[in-house]
Parts: sequence; structure tokens; C-alpha cells
Amino acid sequence: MRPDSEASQAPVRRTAFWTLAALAAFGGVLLTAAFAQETPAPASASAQPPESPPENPTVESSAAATPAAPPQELPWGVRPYRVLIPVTFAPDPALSVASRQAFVKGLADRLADDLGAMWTLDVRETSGSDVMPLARLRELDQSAALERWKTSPFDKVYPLSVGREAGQLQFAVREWDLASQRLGPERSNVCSDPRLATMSAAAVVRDAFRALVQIESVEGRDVVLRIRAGELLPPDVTATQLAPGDLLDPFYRQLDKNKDVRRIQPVAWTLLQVVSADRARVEAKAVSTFTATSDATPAVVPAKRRMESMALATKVWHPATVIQVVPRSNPGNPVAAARVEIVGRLPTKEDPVLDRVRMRTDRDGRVRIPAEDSTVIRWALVFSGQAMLGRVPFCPGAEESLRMDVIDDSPRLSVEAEVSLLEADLVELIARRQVLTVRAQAAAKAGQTDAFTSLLKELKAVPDLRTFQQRLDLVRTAGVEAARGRKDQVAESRIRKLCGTLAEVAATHLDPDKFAESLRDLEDSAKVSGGGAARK
Amino acid sequence: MKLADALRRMAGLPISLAAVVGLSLALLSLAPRPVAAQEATAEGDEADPDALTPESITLPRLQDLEPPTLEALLNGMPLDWVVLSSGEVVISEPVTPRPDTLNKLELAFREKEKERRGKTGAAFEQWKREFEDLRFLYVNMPGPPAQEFRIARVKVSQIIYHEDHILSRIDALLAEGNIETANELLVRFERQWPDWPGLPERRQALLLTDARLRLSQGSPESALVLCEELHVQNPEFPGLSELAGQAAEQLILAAQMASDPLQARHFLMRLNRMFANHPVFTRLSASYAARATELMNQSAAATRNGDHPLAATLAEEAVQVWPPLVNLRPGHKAATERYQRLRVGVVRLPGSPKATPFDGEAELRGRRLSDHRLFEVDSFRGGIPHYRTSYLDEWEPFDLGRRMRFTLTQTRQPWEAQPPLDASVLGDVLLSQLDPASVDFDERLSAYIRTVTVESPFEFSLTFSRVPARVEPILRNATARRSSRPIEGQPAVADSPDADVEGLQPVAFESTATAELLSGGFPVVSSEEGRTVYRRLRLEPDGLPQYHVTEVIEQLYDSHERAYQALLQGDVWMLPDLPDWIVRRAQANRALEKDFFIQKYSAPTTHVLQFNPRSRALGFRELRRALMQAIDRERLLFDVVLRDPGLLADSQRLQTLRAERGAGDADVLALSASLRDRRQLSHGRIVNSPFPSFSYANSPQLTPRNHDLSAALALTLAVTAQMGGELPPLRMAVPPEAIPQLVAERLLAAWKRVGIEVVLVEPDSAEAAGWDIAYRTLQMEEPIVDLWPFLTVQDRANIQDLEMFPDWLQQGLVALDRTSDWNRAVDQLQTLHRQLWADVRFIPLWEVDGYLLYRKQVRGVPTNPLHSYDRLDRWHLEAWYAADAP
Repeated sequence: MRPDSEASQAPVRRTAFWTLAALAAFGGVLLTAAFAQETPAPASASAQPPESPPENPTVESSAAATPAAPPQELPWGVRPYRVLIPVTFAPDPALSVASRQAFVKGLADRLADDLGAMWTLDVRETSGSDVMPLARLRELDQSAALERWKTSPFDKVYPLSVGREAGQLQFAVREWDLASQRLGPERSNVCSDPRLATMSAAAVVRDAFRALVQIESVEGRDVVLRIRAGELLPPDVTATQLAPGDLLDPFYRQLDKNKDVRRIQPVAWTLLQVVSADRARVEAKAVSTFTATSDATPAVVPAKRRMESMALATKVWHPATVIQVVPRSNPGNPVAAARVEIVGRLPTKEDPVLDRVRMRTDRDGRVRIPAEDSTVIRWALVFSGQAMLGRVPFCPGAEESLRMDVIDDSPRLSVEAEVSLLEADLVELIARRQVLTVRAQAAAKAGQTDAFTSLLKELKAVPDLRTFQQRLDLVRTAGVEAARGRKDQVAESRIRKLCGTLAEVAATHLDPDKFAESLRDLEDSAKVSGGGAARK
Repeated sequence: MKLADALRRMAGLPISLAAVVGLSLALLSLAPRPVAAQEATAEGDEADPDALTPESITLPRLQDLEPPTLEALLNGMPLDWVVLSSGEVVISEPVTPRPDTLNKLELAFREKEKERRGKTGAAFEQWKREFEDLRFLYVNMPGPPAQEFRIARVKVSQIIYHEDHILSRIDALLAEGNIETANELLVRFERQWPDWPGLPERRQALLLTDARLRLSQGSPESALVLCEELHVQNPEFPGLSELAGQAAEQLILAAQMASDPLQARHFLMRLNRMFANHPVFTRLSASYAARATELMNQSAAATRNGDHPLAATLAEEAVQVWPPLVNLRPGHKAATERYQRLRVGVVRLPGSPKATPFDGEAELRGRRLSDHRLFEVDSFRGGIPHYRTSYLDEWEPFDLGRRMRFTLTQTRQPWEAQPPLDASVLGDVLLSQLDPASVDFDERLSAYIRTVTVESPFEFSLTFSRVPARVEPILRNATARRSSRPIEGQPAVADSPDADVEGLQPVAFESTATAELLSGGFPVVSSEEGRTVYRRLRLEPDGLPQYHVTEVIEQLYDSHERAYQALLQGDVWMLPDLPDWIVRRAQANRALEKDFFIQKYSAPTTHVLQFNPRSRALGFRELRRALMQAIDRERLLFDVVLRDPGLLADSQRLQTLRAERGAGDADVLALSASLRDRRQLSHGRIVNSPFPSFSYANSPQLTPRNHDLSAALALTLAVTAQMGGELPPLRMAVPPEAIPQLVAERLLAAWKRVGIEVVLVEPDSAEAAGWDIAYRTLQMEEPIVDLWPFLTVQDRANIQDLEMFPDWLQQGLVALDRTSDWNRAVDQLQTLHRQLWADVRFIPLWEVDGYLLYRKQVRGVPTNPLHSYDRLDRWHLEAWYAADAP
């Protein structure tokens, strides 16, 4: 940290200079002056050849020039993040070498002011293949980032792109986290006032920052975490790494015997929500699809000998999260038109959660859930017909897209269709029997022998339980065979249950003994009324 | 008082004819054969001692008798007056033979005389008695007591028959102008003695008198009609020619005042048909001919100025003014074949009020004229539609169908109405349909197409993220953009129908620059009371050897019958949508074949009852089933739609027989076979799907679902219980056409019988949007693609519209859309059909073969047109007009 005297004098100098600069020029000259700050470049600095050696504005940048020896391993809570910020300036005649250097230095100073010892910072202007203009930053994907920074000595890399459009300075940055080997989303900012350039750039870098924690202990859904550099409190209190309510995305680092990372395994559909944070120690709750109904198996496990258990903070980065529902056995055909319900908590018998947002997947099996103002956990319940295909927790806006694998429900659905139609037939059968019985009773009472005989004949011709069960068996057999063909035991059991329920209903309402008895009653009543020919 | 005096007094008007007759008969009965006493003696008859002698009878004299009164003639006994040579009159019952009694008796007498030769003995005596008998006239004097007398014929000077009295009375009545009474007498007379001499003259006189009266009362048209009737009976009737001329002239002048030359010519030609070269005709026809010639000259001038619409209009007016003028033909031919107008008779115009949310027949006609689709169905082979296109030379799949390359046609005939397209425009159109932010966004198309690549001005290719079972139905509407479509209802039109053709730009095509590039076809240019005009947007250039239809004028008639009459009269040239009974009548009319073609559409029109997927009540399957089983579809088809009483009677007989004797009875089998053949030959049939009956989409495994009131009632009770004991009334939207309205009326009654109340929604009312059931007529070309929008009652297949359906149906429709293999898609479609049929998601009623009836001067119509304006841009009209009077 700078001495107080320097810190207090600098704004004064900047203000005085900007007053003069505003009077002198606009545009490029102005911008050049802005980057110059404390050491304004001469007018000819913009024409300086690119091969001119840059000044070393900070101690960290000189350290980066000569690869440093691996730092001594400090305890996790007091181990600062080693951070690299490669700055790429868009080609612009208004941005002289001096102004660029001034910007780099200003940014480093600003971040150092804000974060203090939490970060060990290296800010440098890129050159050659390290250049990361905005377009390339946007195109950067996980594999390219891994390729580029896998062997970097830095824990976090923030490629910062600086450009200018419509008179405004544009800053864009993404975070590369070494521990999780994950590339963060693009964060961007614009600045109309060049005097605030470094502040805007620092803000966008801080916005892209994701805190890293170690999972120390797990008990049921309660998880104790330790924040990296959590004991190194930043001078700016708003730069605190985690606060209650924040969410973390857990992952495991599988190590080999040399402690090199063999594989990084994300913990799917699991989030850790911060309950309390005290310096480096954080208490959190695990919310996971795997512990939705039972705590028997914890959602996450603490570090082991060859496995590091960590979590990376997540925020609402995106305007919405798109969940794509895909059948596991048929990923080429996402589940279209599936009913998706978004709830704040998992419904139970006691708490059915009536406040639900009902959605339907599109042709690509996608639903788009808009982000909310803060990091909140929501559950997506996916249904097919009467059956629930899956339920997953997620934070709307934290991820741009999520893919949810579910079982292929088509065999059960086709059986559901047939069963539904059989149900309708059953209702019709029962109703027809009822109406014909009533009409036959009326005919018997009125002594209308011919009508009674005809109605009795019609009544006997109504399909009986045996016929109905044969149809039901056909449906069940075909459905079960199809499910077996796909080795889908869940579907098979659901099909059996569907058909079994209908069979029970049919047996109750089409009971042959009761029907025979009612026929006998009818014939008897016809006899009593003088319709002796009824039995013919 | 002498009897003669008494009789004379009684024959007078103050005394009733019956009384006179009674008295005179009483007198004569006392003197059998009084007038021919000698002849009676010769026959050896002995005189009755109590009988009156001839000398004691005094007969009235003719000049003393008054003609019978009207009352006596109408209600009294018919009596003849036998006038003796002495001038006295014997009033008797009608003598025989009659009329011309004396001549007939004389003739018989002479004939009898010839039979004398060779007769001897008893035969001679017999002959002699008969021969002598013919010398006398036998008269019956009405009693009581009635007596018969005979009078030597030589003593009879004349017989005034009862009928003669009536005719005389008619003459008198006509002279008085008492038409009604004269007509009553005449009618009764005609009924009793249709061949009486003098009757036709009286009838003719009556007609003339009536015509004269009507003319004087200011009804020249009825006067002319009567003159025509009289002319048929007797063209030489005195005074007829003058009267007809007066009547016709009055009518013609009135028509001229009303600026209706057609009407004027009509009356003039009627006059001419009665009396060739009638002075009125000669005078007026000369003026008409002059006017027609003048109009035709103006038409020729307009042609020279390049104003072809005006030239055609003037030429049409000229031939309307005076068609017999032979000189008009060349000018008319040149003008009307250069700018061809097809007049079509319809019973509904697009945009008129309707209760249903779908396009009606009128809207479909309009849409087919203005929309130009990338692919059109060319024909159905084996139930599968085959497509053609005016835009593409070829389209070829690559990479197992994942990529398709399209080559646009580079040649274009001048008559083609579709817009010329290049690949960039088409690419732009396709991209707009893939863009979710665009109003043209097509969710289904976007699910299929991944990229659109324009390779050259005439080539583009598509890569598919999902290969469709068939490309053509997916892309057929690619050029019919939603943004270029008129708003539902009244189509956008130019300000004036007479506006300059080049300046006509229908509002529908003004939205975007691309839309302008896509303009073509025959958009609406005017829609006024009673007619809608569609005009070719891309006109044919000058200098072609042959031109094609430029304008289609749909003329509204209030009924199909009137439209049919208009076709026969030459007012319209085509009827696109006729009910079957008129089609059958036209087919049976051999004379019609000379001037008209009757061509069957290649796809029938299916009538379906569609359920609103958002209707709460119809969410109950039991209610849907109840609605279906309450309908006797066959009866409705034969009775209301086809109006074929024979088929209906046989169908009902078969049902009765089957119920009585069982299905295996020989008579039942014979009748069933005969009925099956006749059903196949009829123009309508019961269907179980909204697809054409020949379509590949029909499942062969449907469970029959017949008319069953018991089942319908049972299901209604079941659903009423499910809905808490009360079934809300359902609202039904029905197209305004006559047949759907009649069917709906019957349906409502049928449903009421099983306890389901259904009410009709008013056209274009607020409640029309909230319909539960809709009567819909449609031609589903490609069920594999069209089923989804049909079920959701939307234009396009969108996932969100499936929300109201059960999941199995949703997934079934999605799976059908995703299937790339044709055979699997057909299997899935048939399964869906079976399930939809069982689930009663709609009620298919019947399909009816449609026919296009048009004048033979319309050329270029496809042999089996798919619809009424199939390939209209290549139709051409040969000049024709009715040269004779309409």
C-alpha cells in the first residue's frame, strides 16, 4: 500500500491536469492525457514505436518479467491469490505507449488499493500471441483457455480488453481460475469519462472475480468452508469475498501421486449456499438433487489424500439460464414440450408449494428462466405426463445454459396414451350398462316385452370385463416389451403401475358376478310384470 | 194463364232458372214425343190417355228468352236450348252427341243407310228401327218426373248448348273488363269441356284483355308476359302486335332511364322474338346498333392508347348494348382477349362476416390467388401429394439429405404471375423465417434448417439440423410470408377499381422492401358491395400472340341456384363451389355439355367438427364422445349435403332390415352390397379423419364408432356428474354458407335429444372468439405437416400451442415432426390418427367431391384442378358473349 501522502496528493494532481486537458483538446488527445495521469507523455509519445520498451510501472510487473520461483506454500486462509491481468488495447492512434503504460500502472494501483494483500497482482500489457482483443476474448472457450493458461503460475488470470467505441472506453474481462480450470463469463463495462478509466477497469475485474474455497468438513447438508486468502481482509470492505446468501459451485480435483491434477470433476446439480462468513471460515448449506429426499449420502465430501474438494463462487452473470432437457438414451432428440415447473423449494406432502412458474420446453428441449436480482436457488421440476422426469437445483442467471439428462419417457407415454383411451372406453362401458339397465327396468315395469328383450340383448352385448382386460393386457405387454428393449426399469415399473391401477378399476366396475346378478334381477322383475318372454 | 206465358215469364231474369226449368220440364213430361206425334205413331207406340197432346203445349219462342244468369251458369243445371223451325225452344238436359249434334246425327244417319244392303228378316227389321231412330233428336226434359222425347231432326233449326251460353257470358264479361269472373268461368269451362269449339278464342281474348288492362295499370312487364303467352297460342290475334309493341317500348324506355342496356336489349329481343321486324324493334334496334358501334369505336381508340382495361370494358358494354350486330365481334374479341376478365359466381365474398376463426371457402380462394407458394401440390398419387414449383429448376439432396441445393429457374414466361425470385431474396425470406424476432418466424422451419447459403444469384442451399421426412411440404409456404399477408377479414385494396393498373399496389405488399420483391399473383384490387376484383399484379407485356386471365371478378349471388342461373345466362363464366344436387343436375343435363365443362377437383372437401382445445367443457373426453355418438352422420350426409333421397331411403331400409333380420340375412347382404356400390358412386362419403379418404394418413385400425343414442346419453350423464351435475351450454361457430348452417341446425337438435345444449355464436361477435365447437371445411394436403396446426387451430406449428393437449399427444406430434424417415412418419401418423379418433379430438363428418363448372371458352384449366384457381396464370379466355337475348 502506498504512503498516505502519495495517495492524498494524487487526486489533486489528476484534477488539475484534467482541467487543463479538457481545455486543450478532445478525443484522442484527451484520452492520451487521461492515461498519462501522473506522468503525462509528451505530444510525440503517441508516435512512439511499439518496440519501445515499456516502463515498469509496478514491482509485480518486473517480477513477472523474470519467472518467479514458486512461492512458499502458506496456509489456505492467508494464501493470497496470484493474479495476472494481461491488458490488451485495441489499435487506436489515440492510445500512445505512454498512455497505455499509465493505464496499466493506474489499474494496478487501484486494485492494490482495493484488495490489499488478498491479491498478488501482475498487470501487464500484452504483446505478440498474448494479445486478447475483445473479439478473441469473446470467442475464448474452455479448451483454449486451458491450453493458454494451464501452466501459468497464476491462480487467477483476467485477460482485460480495452477498446473505444462511440467515444466511450470499453472494458471487457473474463476470469480464468486455475484451481477449477474454469473460464468465467465475460464482464464488461463502459466509461464515458476518461478520468474514471482505471476505476471502471478495476471494477470490471473485481466483478469477474470468483472466490475460491476449500471444503473442510461436511455433516449432512452442513458444510464448513475455508476461503482462500480469507484472512487477508481487503481494505475495501465491499471487496469481501463471500457474504451470507452467496452461492458456490463445488468441484473435486483428483490428484496423482505427484500431486498433479489428474482430473477435475464438477459436482453436478449441487450448490453451496453461504450461511455465515467469518474471515476465512464459512458455514454453508449444500443444496443438491442427490440429497433432495435423503441426507444419507452427503452431496459433497471434504478433501481426501488425493482429492481436493473445493468450490468456486458463482454470481448472477447472465440475464437468464437456459435449461435443456435431454433424454439420456437419445440425446439427439431433446425432450420438447415437456412441462417444467420452477419452484423456490422442493414440494413435500405437507408443503405442496403452490407458487410455481409453469413452463414448457421448446423444440430443442429448452426452457429459459430469467435471472433474479440476487443469487437464489430455484428448483426445476420436469414432468412428462403424470411422471416426474427430474428435479434439479440451480441459480437463475449463474450459468448461461445447463443440460439436464433425463430418462427417455416415450414408452411410458405411449402406454399412458393407450391407457387414457382405455379409461375413456371403460367410462363409456359403465355408463352404457347403467343406461341400458335403467331402460330395461323401465321397459319391464311397463310390461313392454319386446323392448325389454331387445334392451336385454343389447345389454348383454356390451363388452365385459374379460374383453376389457384382454385389451389392457395387450397394451401392457407392448409397453413393457418396449421398456425392456430400452433396459428402462423405471419405465417398466411405471407402465405396470399404470395398467394395474386401471385393471383394478375395471375389475371393480365390470365385476361379472355383479353384472350377472343384475341381469337376473332384471329378468325377475320382467317376470313379475308379466314379461315372461324375457328369458327367451 | 197459358203455360207458354208462364214459362216465358219464368225464363226471365227475376225468376230463377231452376224454377223455369222445373216448370218447362213439368209441361213437357205430360206430352211424350209431343213434337213428333206422327213418328211416334209410326213406331206403334200407343199414346198415353193422360198425356198432354202437342196442341196443349206451348213452347217459348227464342226471341222471348233471356240468356241464363251468371249464377245459373256457375251453379245451376246445364240446359240446352233446342230451337225448332217454328222458332219455339225446347229447354232440355244436355243433348248428345255434342257439340254439332245435328250434323253428327245426319252423318250417322247416312252411314247407317249404307248398311242396308244384304240385310233381310230380323236383321233388316233391326236395321230399320235403328235407321229410323236416327231421324230424331232425343231430348230429356228434366223432371220430376223426367221424360224423354224425340223430335224429328228436320224440325230442329239449331241447338244452343249450355256451353254456348257460358261462352257468350265470357264474351260479355270480357267486354265489361271483368277479367276475374271471366277467368273463373273460363277455367271451369276448360276443366269440363277442354275441346269445346270457340274456347281457345275466348282464352286468347282473355289474355289480350288482361294484358291491355295491365298495361293501362302501369305493369308493362306483366302485359308483355301475357302478350308472349298469347303469341304462343295465336300470333295473329288481332291487336296483339300493337299491344306487345307498346308494352315492350315502355319497358325499354324504363330500362334506358335506369341505364341498364342489358335489360333494354332483353325486352327488345323479346319483342323481336314475338314479331320479327316489329316497328318498335326496328326503330330502337337501329339506335342501339349505333350506340354499340360508337362504344366499340371508343374501345378501339382505348386499345390504341394502350388502355386495355378500358378497351375491354367498352367492348363488353358495346356487345351488351346490341349483341346481334355482327360487326362488333372482331373488336370485342381483340379487346377482351387482350385484357381477359374471368367472372365467377359465388355465394360469399372474402371478408364478409363469419363466426368461425378459420379461413372460409371465400378467404381460401382469395389466398390462393394472392399467395404464391414455393411448392404447390400437383396431384395425388396413391394418397401421397406430389409437388410442382414455378420457381425451381431442380432441388437435389446431398449428404444423406442433410444438405439440399436448390437451383432457381432462370427462364420465365410472360404469363407467369408469381414474382421473379433470385437466391438472395429467397435467402432473405428464409432467414426472416428462422429469426425468432421476426414476425415471419416459423418455429418448425427453424427447427429443421440450420443454415441458408446463397451460392449464386440462382443457387442456394440449406443445411438441415434435422432432416424432414419431405422437404416440399416444409418449404411450400416459404414464399408466402406472414408480413405480406392481408389482415384477416377485409382485404386491403386500392382506392378505386378503375385506378391505373400500374399504380395499383395492394397495401398487403407495402410493408417491406423484400415483401415488394415478393409481390405477384392476383391480389385484391377492389372489394365493394356484391363483388371482389382480383387483378394480376405482373401484367403481360404488349406484342404477345396470346394473353391470359388478367382479372378475376367474383360476383356475389344470394344462392347457388341464382349463381347457376347466372352461369347459364352468361353473366358469369365459372362456378367454383356448387352444392352436390346442382352438380348432379348439371351432369344430367346433356344440353349443358355443349357449352360447359364440369371438372372434379382432385381432392375432396372434408367437413369436420373441430373442438376448441381451450374449451374447458370439451376437455372431458366423455363429452366429446357423447357429441359424436349423438350424430347420425350418414343421414345428414344423404339428406342435407347430397340431398339424395334414394340413398337415404335405402340406407334407412338397410338399418331396419339389419335390426329385424340380422346382418347375415340374404336380403340384408344384397341391399348392403347395392348400397355400398351406390355410396361409392355418390359424391360424398363418411370419413373418420380430417384427411382425404385416400390419404396415406388414415389408419386402417380404427374402432368403428356409430350413431348410438344410448351411448351418447350415457356419456352425457357421466360427464354431467363429473362436472358437478351441470353441463354448461356449448357455443358452436358455423360458417355462413347454407349447407353448414342446415347441418348445424340438425346437429343442435340431435345433441339436445341427449341433453347437450349447444348454441350458435353470432358472426363477428365478441363471443365468436370463445367458441367450443366449430364447423370446418378443409382440404388437408399433407397431413404429416398439417395435422399439428389443424389441432391447435393455428397457422403454424408452435410448441406453446400444444399446452392444452395431454402429454402423450404433445409428444406424439413432436415425434412426428422429428421423424426423418417417411415410412416411420406414416406409421406414427396412423397411430396418432387412431388415438385421436379414439380420443375424439375432432368429429370427422364426411367428405364431398367438389366440381368446377365453367364455360368452355375458359381454356387452360387443369384436368383435375386442386382448387378453383389452380394455375390461374396460364388460363386464357376465348372471347364470347351471348349474341341472343338473355
